[in-house]
Amino acid sequence: MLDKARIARELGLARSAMTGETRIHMEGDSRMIIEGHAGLLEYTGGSIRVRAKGMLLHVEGEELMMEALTAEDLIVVGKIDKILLLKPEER
Amino acid sequence: MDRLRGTVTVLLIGRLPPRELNRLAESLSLQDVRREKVGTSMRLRTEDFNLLRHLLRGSGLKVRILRREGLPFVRVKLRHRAAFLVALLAGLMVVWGLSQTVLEVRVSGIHDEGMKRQLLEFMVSLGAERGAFRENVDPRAIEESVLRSFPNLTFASLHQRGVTLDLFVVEAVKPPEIFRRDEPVNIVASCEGLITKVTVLSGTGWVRPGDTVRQGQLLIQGYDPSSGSVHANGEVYARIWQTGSGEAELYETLRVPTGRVHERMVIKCRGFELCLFQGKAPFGDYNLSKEGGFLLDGLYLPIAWEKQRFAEVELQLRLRPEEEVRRQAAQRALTDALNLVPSGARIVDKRLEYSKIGEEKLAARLTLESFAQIGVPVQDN
Repeated sequence: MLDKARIARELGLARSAMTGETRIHMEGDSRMIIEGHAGLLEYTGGSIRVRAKGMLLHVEGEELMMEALTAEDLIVVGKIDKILLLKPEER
Repeated sequence: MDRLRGTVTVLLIGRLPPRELNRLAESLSLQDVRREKVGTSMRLRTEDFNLLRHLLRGSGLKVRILRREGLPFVRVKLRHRAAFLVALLAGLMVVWGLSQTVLEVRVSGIHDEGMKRQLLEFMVSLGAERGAFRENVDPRAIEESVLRSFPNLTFASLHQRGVTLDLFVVEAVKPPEIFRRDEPVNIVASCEGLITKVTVLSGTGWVRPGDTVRQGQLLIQGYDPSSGSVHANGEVYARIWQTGSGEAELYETLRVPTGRVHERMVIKCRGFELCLFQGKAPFGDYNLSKEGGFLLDGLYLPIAWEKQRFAEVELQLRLRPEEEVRRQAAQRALTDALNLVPSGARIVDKRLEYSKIGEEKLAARLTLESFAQIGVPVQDN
């Protein structure tokens, strides 16, 4: 089986470009960019649950809003208090 | 970009499960998705709105438009406000027109006000004046014309700074007079006087200290016994007397305001005058003061207004104080005498005499005594 992560490292590419893993980018505690998500599972003003590759992302905070939502990308803004990465067995 | 294409903010009333939101996100670009009390609000592009309604068909959700933003909606609004649009366009055209118009013409680089006025008048004749369109002003052509027409200028540069035309000029420095040694020249007296000192550098001296000379008399001849005709050179100092006179009125006429005033407004246009409201002043003697300006500051419309104020006065004859009359006559005599004194002269004495002319005037006669170099070169014919 191909080790995509190693190929990406050898070629100097972003790992997520080869593996299809979800990329998470934070700007302080008020903005979070999630690239390559696999679908929204729950959304309220206090929490957002998003399916990512091989895990589940749980964001908690206040006045959470989705600044942008497409089939692949999601930008969450608001006062982010907690981020949890849950493995399938932890759900 | 969204502003140009237009966006719609909608409220989806009812329960919108995440599964439905994922389905919408696959086809639409959703922005500012927010949970509200009665549903979910989101912003999307105008062209996606119909697709949203199509996707929500059968979901039981109601769609309410909260806000429309962007150029397409502004355009629709303006379509119903034609008068506003026309006024806006007219305003923009006026602003554009004024920005393309010359509002001020200046001349810099020289201090002589007369010369400045001449240059401004010349520029007007070339079309560079207030109210002219900037596009019609050719700076290079004007600079060349100015240099051709004013030989005392060595440099001219016309700059357009916004709505201002600034002509910068530099005056030529006159070269010193060339002293030609081979030219036969005599030195003669510029005025009458008593010679006090003679210094001959070249030529033959014809006067000595103590001699009295008249204006134009030969002082140093451009001739040398050994070499013939020469350029006479030297200085001749003399004691000279210049007399000036001046007069002053013993009586003066006072114009005492009576308090009666008459005002009228005059409209002027290309030599024509139109009096508004009132006619001529009903007084024999009056002081007239004027105040006025141009309509629209003279741009395009050569129509001027003038407010004229006639204040009636009563003429009264009064004997002036003697000291004041003497001082005025003496001052005028001094000015007259100083005009006759050659430049560089050193005044050593003065004598002032007064005399009455009839019953109306006092005359002053001032004689100035000074030392001066009175020799001036003239060509030997």
